[in-house]
Amino acid sequence: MNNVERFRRSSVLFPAFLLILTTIYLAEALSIRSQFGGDTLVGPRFMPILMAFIMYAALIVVTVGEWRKEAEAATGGSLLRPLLIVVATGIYIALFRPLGYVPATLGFVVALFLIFDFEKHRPAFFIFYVIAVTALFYGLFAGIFGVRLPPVLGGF
Amino acid sequence: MEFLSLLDITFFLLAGFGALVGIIFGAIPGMTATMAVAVCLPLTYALGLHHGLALLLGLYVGGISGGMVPAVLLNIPGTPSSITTTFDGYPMAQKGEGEKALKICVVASVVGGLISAAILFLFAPLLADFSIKFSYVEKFLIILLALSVIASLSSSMLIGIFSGVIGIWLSLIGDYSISDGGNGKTRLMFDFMEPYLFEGFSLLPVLIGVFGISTILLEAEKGAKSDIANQRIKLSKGAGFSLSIFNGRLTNLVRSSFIGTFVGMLPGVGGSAASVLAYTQEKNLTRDSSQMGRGAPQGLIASESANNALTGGALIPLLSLGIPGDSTTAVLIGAFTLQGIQVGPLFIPENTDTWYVMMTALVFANIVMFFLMFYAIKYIAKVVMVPKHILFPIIVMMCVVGAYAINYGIMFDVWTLLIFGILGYLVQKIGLEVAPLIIGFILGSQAEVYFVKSLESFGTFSIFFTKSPIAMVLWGLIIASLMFAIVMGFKSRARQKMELTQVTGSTRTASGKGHDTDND
Repeated sequence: MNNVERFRRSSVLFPAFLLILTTIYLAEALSIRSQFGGDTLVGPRFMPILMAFIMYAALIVVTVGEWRKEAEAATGGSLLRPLLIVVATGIYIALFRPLGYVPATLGFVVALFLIFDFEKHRPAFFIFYVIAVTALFYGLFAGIFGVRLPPVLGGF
Repeated sequence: MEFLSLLDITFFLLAGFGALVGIIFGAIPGMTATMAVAVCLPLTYALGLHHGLALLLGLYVGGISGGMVPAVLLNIPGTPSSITTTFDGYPMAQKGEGEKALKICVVASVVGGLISAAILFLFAPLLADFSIKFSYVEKFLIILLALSVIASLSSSMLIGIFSGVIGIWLSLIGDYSISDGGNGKTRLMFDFMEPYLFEGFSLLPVLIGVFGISTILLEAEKGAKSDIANQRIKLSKGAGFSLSIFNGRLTNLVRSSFIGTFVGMLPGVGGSAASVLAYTQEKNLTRDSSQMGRGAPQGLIASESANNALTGGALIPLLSLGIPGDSTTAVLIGAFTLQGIQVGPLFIPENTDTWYVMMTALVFANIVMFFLMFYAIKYIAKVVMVPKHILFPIIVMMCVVGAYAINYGIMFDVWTLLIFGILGYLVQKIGLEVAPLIIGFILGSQAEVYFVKSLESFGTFSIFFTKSPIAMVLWGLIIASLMFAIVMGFKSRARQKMELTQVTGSTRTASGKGHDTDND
């Protein structure tokens, strides 16, 4: 396996990502100033800097170890479904307030049921379960627990 | 005895309901007790502290116990702590003794749970009383010990360090107040984030995201429809259950319960470590270990009593020191935070009623778990066949709407849930561990405050080593835990090398024989 392939493996790519993140984190930590005058060793930036150096040390060990290790067989599984859940949840959160609980949740439940192949071939059951789940959570949070869920289109 | 007035019918119903839902979660492979507690966390705000704790402790006990069902019937551990239950449970189920195996597990579980509850009741107040006298130095060292134990007992020390440091990083984001020794400004974030992250990431959406959403994402990746739909469960045929099975095995039962309780006290160590340790001990100490792994009741007793004993053990450091013993008790901190209560040395003296309520809920949940699983095992066994994909959309909804409801409509909390759901998923995908990450997140900012305040008070680094005999003992334990990890790392590497040599040797021999045959 060449180095490009090795780098493309997440086990090397992620430490590389963490290395960049640690450097940004350290730069930010070094810019933290104390409240009173001179920068003593111990202050608001001490712990972040210490953590950054611990991370550097661990990253060096892991990266060297990964470089020496032979490739392992990749495990199966599709990334499509998790990605779809994340996208659907992101859209749901973004539309939750503007659209209101009921329309946003109906759309979200439809999306989740489709992602999980739930009752896809029985439309009547599909619609029933979508409405039931939306109503169940409305009843639980708004009815029983008194949470003020966003009204339809911001108040209509 | 004022706490008796708090124990109304709703309290017992919630503890029982929690145990039932927990069993269902535990019985479905891939869904854990931690997930059950995390997903139901938002409900506790409206329920109040005592009713909320009844529900969560019921879920905890039920979730740990439910894992035995698929372990015995399908050879799939429902929760990580049931891994050793498969060794003897599944062979018994194959012989047609599934019901007998499950009933042995249930009795061992309830004994383990009750012994650990008794130890919790006796030991936690003593430890809390002792730790009240700790200064900032000892408090810092306790957290350092917890973090070093977590790192040492992770699958690899480096993985533990990585995971823990990421958790600490995230905990340091936000305002660092002057009263905590800081500069009164926000840190480690961009300016536009200040309105959202002034107080850092909110603990509850973080917990629900890491243990709820990320688990769903991992399971969704494996496929919506599971293979178990095509399997048939065999529950009972032939020999039934009798308490005489436990004759001559009480030592194993009690020893394994103590092992489970002790392992539970170690921060960040899961139930799988408890059950593996108890199982190995039984295998080493029993007169005839030849049947273990082939359907021996003593294997089930060791495994199940140890993993249920974890529940009481993990609550000891949480309630006496404020340090979670495992990922589920880390989530329980969220329930206390939601009610504005801080767990730590002062928790038991200042919240005596809550302490007794917790003990009652823990014991009651164990009893309910016993009756549900012992007498209704035939019905509970059917839960393992419930397709997970039916429950996933409901769980995702519960997480999202729950995160919104926790602080009455702060949308950033819901975004936090999603961010940490993705983070938890990625972290597990690349082989890191969520338990050290969450414990680092919970303890990181406290560690910094204690560290800075120690130096403000005493003005020298040497105080960490010389403050008191307790500080020296804590340093000894920190060094011992690190040495343990290093030695275990070397041993594991040596074992791997030996196995590799053996495999290479046998491959060469086989290929040599192959050549001979070809030549012939």
